[in-house]
Amino acid sequence: MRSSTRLAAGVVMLIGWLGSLVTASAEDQDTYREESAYGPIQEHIYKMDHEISIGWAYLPLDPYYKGYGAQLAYTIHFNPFIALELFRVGWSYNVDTELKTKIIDTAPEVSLAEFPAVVFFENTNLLFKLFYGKQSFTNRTVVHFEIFATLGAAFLFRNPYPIWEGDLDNARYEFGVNGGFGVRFWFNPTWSIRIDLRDTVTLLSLNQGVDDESWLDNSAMIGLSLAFNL
Amino acid sequence: MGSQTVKSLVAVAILLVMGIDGSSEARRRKIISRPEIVETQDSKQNEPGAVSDIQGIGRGDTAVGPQIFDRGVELFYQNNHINAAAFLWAYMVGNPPGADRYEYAEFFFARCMEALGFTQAAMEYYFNVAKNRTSPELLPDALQSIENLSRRVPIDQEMIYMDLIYDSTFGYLSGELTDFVEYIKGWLDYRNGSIKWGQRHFSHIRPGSYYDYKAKYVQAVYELVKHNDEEALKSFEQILASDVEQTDVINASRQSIARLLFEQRKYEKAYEMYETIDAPIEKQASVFLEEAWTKYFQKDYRRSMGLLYALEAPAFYRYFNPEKFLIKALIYQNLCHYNVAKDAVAEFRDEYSEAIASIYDRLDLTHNSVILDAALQDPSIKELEQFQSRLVTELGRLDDFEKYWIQNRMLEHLKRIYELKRQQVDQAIRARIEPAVRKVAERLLEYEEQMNILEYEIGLSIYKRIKGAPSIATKEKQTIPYSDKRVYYEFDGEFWSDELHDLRFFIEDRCFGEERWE
Repeated sequence: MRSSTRLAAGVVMLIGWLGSLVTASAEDQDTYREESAYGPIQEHIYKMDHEISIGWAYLPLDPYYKGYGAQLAYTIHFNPFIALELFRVGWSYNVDTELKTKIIDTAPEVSLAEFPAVVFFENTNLLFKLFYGKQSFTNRTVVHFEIFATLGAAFLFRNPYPIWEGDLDNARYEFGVNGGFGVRFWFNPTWSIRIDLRDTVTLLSLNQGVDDESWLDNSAMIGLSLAFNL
Repeated sequence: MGSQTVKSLVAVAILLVMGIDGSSEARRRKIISRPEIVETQDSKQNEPGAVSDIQGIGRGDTAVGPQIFDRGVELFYQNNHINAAAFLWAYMVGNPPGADRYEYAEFFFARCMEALGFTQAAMEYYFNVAKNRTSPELLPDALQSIENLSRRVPIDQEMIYMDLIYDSTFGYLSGELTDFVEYIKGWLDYRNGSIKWGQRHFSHIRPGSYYDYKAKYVQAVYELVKHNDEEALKSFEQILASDVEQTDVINASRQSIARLLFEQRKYEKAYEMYETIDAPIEKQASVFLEEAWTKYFQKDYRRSMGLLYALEAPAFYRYFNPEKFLIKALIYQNLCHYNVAKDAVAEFRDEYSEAIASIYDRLDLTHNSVILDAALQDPSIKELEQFQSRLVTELGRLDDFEKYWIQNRMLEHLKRIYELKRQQVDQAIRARIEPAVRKVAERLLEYEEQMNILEYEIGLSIYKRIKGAPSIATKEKQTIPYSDKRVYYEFDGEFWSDELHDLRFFIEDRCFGEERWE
């Protein structure tokens, strides 16, 4: 037997043995242990039901432009652990970077149509609210927060030109998956502020330019929203 | 808390001496009697191993062969408990109780019921296996399952403890099962006042086992009932000194020791002992109340009040607790907050005025929701109530299995078991509710009287203060540092279980202050 295989087998056996020890010890301890029907928090005061959030969005990833926009979302919270963000729609105003300007200046054969930027986006995500906690601020105020992960589907509308110019010949309609993390801080049980970090990976792009081979695109978004619990 | 402790002891004593009434065996037999056969209906389900395969089996004119039993067992080992139960049921209704493998069918049927969460149905069939013993090799497994279930869920104690264990001689059993059986027999003997018999049963338990410590606990409580406090304390301390990890025995011993220390006015030690209790939070209501009294006598009013606020947590919503208003009023009075002290008295009246009026008017107290709910928390009824609630839940869940168990009237039979047992438990609760209601009524009247006296004393204190010359304030200034090794969280109504023991109520001592009562 090769040494690497022996090592792997040894590791597997060790893990198995440790696993059996952990299981056995847990079983022994649990045999007569009384269990509580209540979790660490008996009743959440800071909990969401139907959430409307509105805020800013920043799309920092593309080297040729940076997007500054607004977003609106509606989220249904089923329980303290899971929620469905039915939609998060946003519009982005894109500002060219120096790199894009330099390329266009130095390479006249490069067309502007080759720099499609995200103009509209829509996400539909599941929210997994993993942590809920509170912190004391200078022993005076208690701040409640939660940290959540998101996973779902995304739609992006990209266009190389600002939408008000009306040139949609090179527009792209992209579909992909979306994931990320977020954190929420409550001002009170009704109002809260949330920060979202998300990344969309495009899996399907319609109307894309034939000479563009890099269609598996990334689009990251940083959001800051004010949320209202209905 | 003198009266509180005495009451607790009385409650324990009542538990010990509480007899179990009725000759339940005949009643039980009626419930579990073999069903008449057998009307089949069309099955709509088409799963592998589905019960449609046994449609018509057991009709009475059809012999049910061992292959049905075998199929049931096979499905059981494939963890297909729903269909396994249907096959085993078909075998049971198609054969007389003395038939070959009949008891095995009952045993596996019980296992299926247990796996599916129908604990009472499981208990009924484990009972049959353990009581009849036509296949004695199944006895240890059946008893082991009964023992496991008895620790996890509320059970029919009358059926299992009285009819099965107390009335039976099982012959040789393994160590753990002997411990269980001897403990139950000994415990019942103690309850019935047959102490020597109880001691003899307890002497058969293996030293150092879980049931050995439970037996020691019973013996220690018996010493308490005899007012032999020192001896009881020693026994409880022995349990704590052991390496037993079973939290129920340990926590019960801790609370008993804390109560004894409290009675001996060793408040600090008593509080320390209370703080070591790590029972599930919903079982700690009495711990919080007793801690509040302990802190009150230590004159640590902030902690005492914090503990009273902890009792507002959702986990304690059913805890009958008129005492908290008394402690609250006493604390406010001691800190010269006379207005709010009077408010606490008013709060007590708001909460219980209707119940107290019912007592004075000699109405039927079981119709008063406050008194009835408090009576249902009485130790003599609480277990029955929990068992009844479990029965109702399991009965409701049976409908989820309708499409699987409609054949051979299996579902109907299971529903009948639950319904009859529910009625039986209802009757048992009714029989015990009257004295429990009376006890609650007496407690309420006692507290009302104490509140009246306290209100009078508060009035006197106000009068003295108004008449007296103002003196120099020597108030302790309360400040919360911006930064400290201790972190402060302002309470906002959200109850975190791990914080409940640490709540503190910020209140200033206004005694000897110069402000006048308004």
